[in-house]
Amino acid sequence: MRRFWQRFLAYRAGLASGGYVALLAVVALVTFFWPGLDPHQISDTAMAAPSLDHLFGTDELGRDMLLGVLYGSQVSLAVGVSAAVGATLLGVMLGAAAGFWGGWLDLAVMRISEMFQVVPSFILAAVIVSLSGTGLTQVVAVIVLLAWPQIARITRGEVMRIKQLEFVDAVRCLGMREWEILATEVVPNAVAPVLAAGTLVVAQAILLEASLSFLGLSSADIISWGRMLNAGQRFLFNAWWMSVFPGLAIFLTVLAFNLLGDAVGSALNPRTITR
Amino acid sequence: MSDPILVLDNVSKTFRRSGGSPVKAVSNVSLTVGRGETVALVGESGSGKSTLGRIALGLLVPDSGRVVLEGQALGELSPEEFRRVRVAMQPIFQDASSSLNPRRSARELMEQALRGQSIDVEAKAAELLDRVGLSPGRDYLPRFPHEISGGQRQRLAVARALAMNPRLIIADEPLSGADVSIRGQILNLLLDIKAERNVAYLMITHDISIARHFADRVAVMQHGVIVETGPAEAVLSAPTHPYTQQLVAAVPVLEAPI
Amino acid sequence: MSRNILEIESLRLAYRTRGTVAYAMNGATLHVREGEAVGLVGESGSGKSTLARATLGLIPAKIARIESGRMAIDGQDVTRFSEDEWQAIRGNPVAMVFQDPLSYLNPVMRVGKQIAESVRMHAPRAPLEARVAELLSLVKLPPAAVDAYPHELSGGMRQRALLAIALGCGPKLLVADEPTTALDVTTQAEILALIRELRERLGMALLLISHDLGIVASACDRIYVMYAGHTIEWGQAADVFGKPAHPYTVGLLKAAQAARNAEGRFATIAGDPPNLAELSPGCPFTPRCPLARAECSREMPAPGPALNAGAQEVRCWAHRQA
Repeated sequence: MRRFWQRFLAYRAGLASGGYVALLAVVALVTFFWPGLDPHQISDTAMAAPSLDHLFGTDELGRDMLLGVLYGSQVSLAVGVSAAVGATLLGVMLGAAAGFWGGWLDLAVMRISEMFQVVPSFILAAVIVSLSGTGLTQVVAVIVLLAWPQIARITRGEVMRIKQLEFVDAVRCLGMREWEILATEVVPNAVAPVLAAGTLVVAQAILLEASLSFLGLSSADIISWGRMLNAGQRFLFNAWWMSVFPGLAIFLTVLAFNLLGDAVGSALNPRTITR
Repeated sequence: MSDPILVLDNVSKTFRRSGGSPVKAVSNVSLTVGRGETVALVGESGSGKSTLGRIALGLLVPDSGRVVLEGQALGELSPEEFRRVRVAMQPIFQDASSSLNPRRSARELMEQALRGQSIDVEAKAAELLDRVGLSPGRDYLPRFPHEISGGQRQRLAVARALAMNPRLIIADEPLSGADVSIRGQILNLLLDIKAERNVAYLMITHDISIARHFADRVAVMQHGVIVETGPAEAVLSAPTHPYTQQLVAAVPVLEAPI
Repeated sequence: MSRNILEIESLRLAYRTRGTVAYAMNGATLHVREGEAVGLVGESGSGKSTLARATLGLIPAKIARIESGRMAIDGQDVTRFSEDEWQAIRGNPVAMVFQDPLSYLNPVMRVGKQIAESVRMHAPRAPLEARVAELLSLVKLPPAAVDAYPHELSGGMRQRALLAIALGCGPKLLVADEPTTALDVTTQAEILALIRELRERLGMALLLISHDLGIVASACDRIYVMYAGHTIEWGQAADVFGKPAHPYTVGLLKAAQAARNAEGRFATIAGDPPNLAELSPGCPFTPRCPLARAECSREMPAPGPALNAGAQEVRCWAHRQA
């Protein structure tokens, strides 16, 4: 454990991105619990450029952009993290089972995962939204369905490698049941690359949520960075601040999670030389 | 033999390779290990000895033939019964780095092996570690496999094998990963355990000298078939089968007058 | 008086990582004369593999540096050689064969082509096909092997292919690092016989490195024994193996024979192999030595003649006159 932190902290980009994500989490929590501030507050000063009163300017309804960006972090983090957790759980379960038992189970899981990898994401999103409406749960569901195959593949590969190691046979000889072996002996050893991939899914999820919101496939009264981009596209030349600040937020957050994934990956890999 | 601990009765196993012809790894092999007896299974790579070892341990199901452990045919047991019966035989593998879960401490590994026994697990674990030369046992409990040396890892593997009080230990090349100068430590440990507990050994090895000096009986395997069996010293000092003769002759002789 | 094709004098080579220093070679001294077969014996932590790689400059300066001492190949001082200078002498005069031929052969290139590569680099004007065929027959591989991929050959055949590649360079010194460890006993004997024959035909010197005493005893004239980066005993094979001097050599020989004493115990050396990063001053064998005395933990003795043994030299306080 100590060595994990040593390697993680030595990777400077990981340190920076970890700090950013922590900051983002703080912002999301603070804005969630802080009474009094209302990002939905409409005012008379619509489309105002950034100034001391409104650091990020205002949008077409006079809502403060800074507040919007800060509150938007809630959605991004919530969607990102829950989608990543969901995709990881689903992917690990199916991938581990497929890799461990092989045979027709493996074939079935692989073909199904390929289906989901091949389907264009927006078609799937549009279908789900049209069936059950817009809303954050639907957005998360779409992302989980799109992201689980990559996790499953990584898990399956690791499980197939680990199940051949002798310690698996050794516990078999102790009388352990097969599913128990998979859950307690094999999967914990397979987890390292999966964790790294999981953080990348957060980044993907945030982007996807932003895209879906941008296309109008999510609910109108949710404040999210994607939604703000959607609103801002019409005023790209008159009110650049309506697009730039949410866009910057998306960019920085996705970058941070990507770097975080890299850092976790190299920290868990004992053979990496730290920079 | 009146009451053997393990009987391999006409066992065969064929592997189908994708895109290639099937390989008959084990062909109608019969082998018996008596209680408290040490049998060496000797062969080169491709002889099928490791496959036979896995069949004996119940890790591989033979295509034909029976594996009988303490009078019970493994293939005829229900999964529940099989899991209960198989613990009478325990493995020791070649590479202690891969035969111990790297994420488990010695304590956890021993607790796993001591599961189901209504005893003071921690005390028993420390005692077993002491027994295999990892003294003081208490101090080794929190250590992880990568924190101890290769020889110590192999001892830990032996301690785990002993936890279930097995009547038979099947060791697949247990000394191949260890330095020559410390092999004797492991062999002496195995001798002590045999003296204390009357454990039988099936030692799978390619090393003729070890087979000759450690085992009571030897079975020589080539291409999936046993070509010669008999008392270890006799067979390996004066082999009758041409393959055994070839094997023994190929070992470079160390002429030291010690 | 033939000269030395390889000279290593009191070489110290250190692996430095954050906070720890490990001397893989700690004052090792070794000579190989032209045409001679020298064996280097040692176990884990002895430094023998590091020495093997150092003779071909295969240890990058970033990972480990030569801190003192000297190494010369075919009369040239290579201690401070740059990568370019090493490239010029690799293959000729010094070539190497390794333990696991499968990892050291290019899996996607036919064997004949790999041998041809080696020939082309060192004898660019030689008739390629003829030379490759000649090399194949030298190592007793069938001519058909030219078109084979490494995975299509058996372990023994792959090792022969590796030998052919090494020989294609026309080396004066062949460094063989555990060349038969990955092979079956019967194949092992064939490869050793082949190496012996090649030496006689080509007048090549051999540095054979192994943990297997039997192999080294059967193939080499002179032996060096290494422990924790030091060469602790060296001399004629008959002396070192017949009348071993250093307590480590004595223990190693007894253990190698897998013989049991009168009480039925197997011979062994107590303790664990040395951890190069955690060595105390003095002789590194002290914690495991049955003859350890006060001087041993203070200082490493200089080389001297062995007492009550053969004509070999040894670094051991027990062999000093009182």
